[in-house]
Amino acid sequence: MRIAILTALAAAACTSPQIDPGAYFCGPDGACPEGQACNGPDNVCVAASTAKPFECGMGFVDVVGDDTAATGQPVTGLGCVSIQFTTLGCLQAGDIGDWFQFDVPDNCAAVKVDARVSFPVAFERLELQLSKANGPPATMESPCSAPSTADSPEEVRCLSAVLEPGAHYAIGVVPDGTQNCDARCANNRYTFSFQLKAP
Amino acid sequence: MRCVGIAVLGVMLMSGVAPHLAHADVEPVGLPVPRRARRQDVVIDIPGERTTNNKLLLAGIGGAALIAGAIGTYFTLDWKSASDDVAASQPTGEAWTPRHVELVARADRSAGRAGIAYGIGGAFLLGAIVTYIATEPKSTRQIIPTRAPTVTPTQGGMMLGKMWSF
Repeated sequence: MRIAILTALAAAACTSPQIDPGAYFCGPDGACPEGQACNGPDNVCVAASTAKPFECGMGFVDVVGDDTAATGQPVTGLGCVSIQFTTLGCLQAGDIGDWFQFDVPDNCAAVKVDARVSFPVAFERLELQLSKANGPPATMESPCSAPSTADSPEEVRCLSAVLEPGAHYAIGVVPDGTQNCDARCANNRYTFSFQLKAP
Repeated sequence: MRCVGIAVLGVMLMSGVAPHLAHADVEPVGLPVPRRARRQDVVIDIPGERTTNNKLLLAGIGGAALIAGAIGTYFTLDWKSASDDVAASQPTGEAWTPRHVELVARADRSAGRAGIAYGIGGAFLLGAIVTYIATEPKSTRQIIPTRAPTVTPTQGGMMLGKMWSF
């Protein structure tokens, strides 16, 4: 009996953990369990033979010509306390950034912007930059109210800054050059949102 | 099993007849000597007894097997814990991170160590079994002849006995 139990335990100990394709999202640098690879369209780990290259996917638009603060997509109609502007975007390989420009109403006593971008950890990390009056952009990062967890498939980065009423600003979503699989996954899709509010 | 009956026909002889045999501690005359048993002889098998050293040896080998088995069990449980944490057949909603890689590595490590421990424990167990069999002490057979009567000196005389089986 004892020998049988020991043999059964030994046999059980010989197996590797079973991880089926589709069970995990891709990790940083497109990491996946052994024998699996990162599927570009949905950043899910799948059987290596069925993995497809990156594509922006449904609803994630790569707008042409919005690579600088001066040429960014205009966001209009913002009040001192605005509704939240949200958009889905995509940065293909070689895209240096997507910019969103807006004017702060000049009748605000004080105003700040809270911006947030979330993106899969599988591909190149993104950061938020702020530019005033089409000047040189500055990378800004603030603590997020709902940060991503350690095993989350998405990373969140936030920006919070006090703005000057009546001034022209642009916020950029740009790749930060890290975790891009040695340039093999220098792309990403993202959800960007921002809102003007009282400080 | 045969029943053994012993009847003693006591014949107390006067001490003057055999004064040199009148001591109780004198070996009885006519004790059986191991030889081929006849049909009427009383045969007694006396099982051998293991020595203390032999018992210690067996206990040591068995204990080593038990310890190795316990170590194997520990690593099996560790393997199971790590394996359960990382194994998945349904979407987990988690990204594949270095933490998961470490869990897989730990599971594989523990599986290997458990296998080694079970191997060593099995070898000890086998060794204990072989040693137990190989060092089995021999039993001795005592044959008590029933044909000839025995004469046993006693205090102040002697005792005449006769044994048979039925």
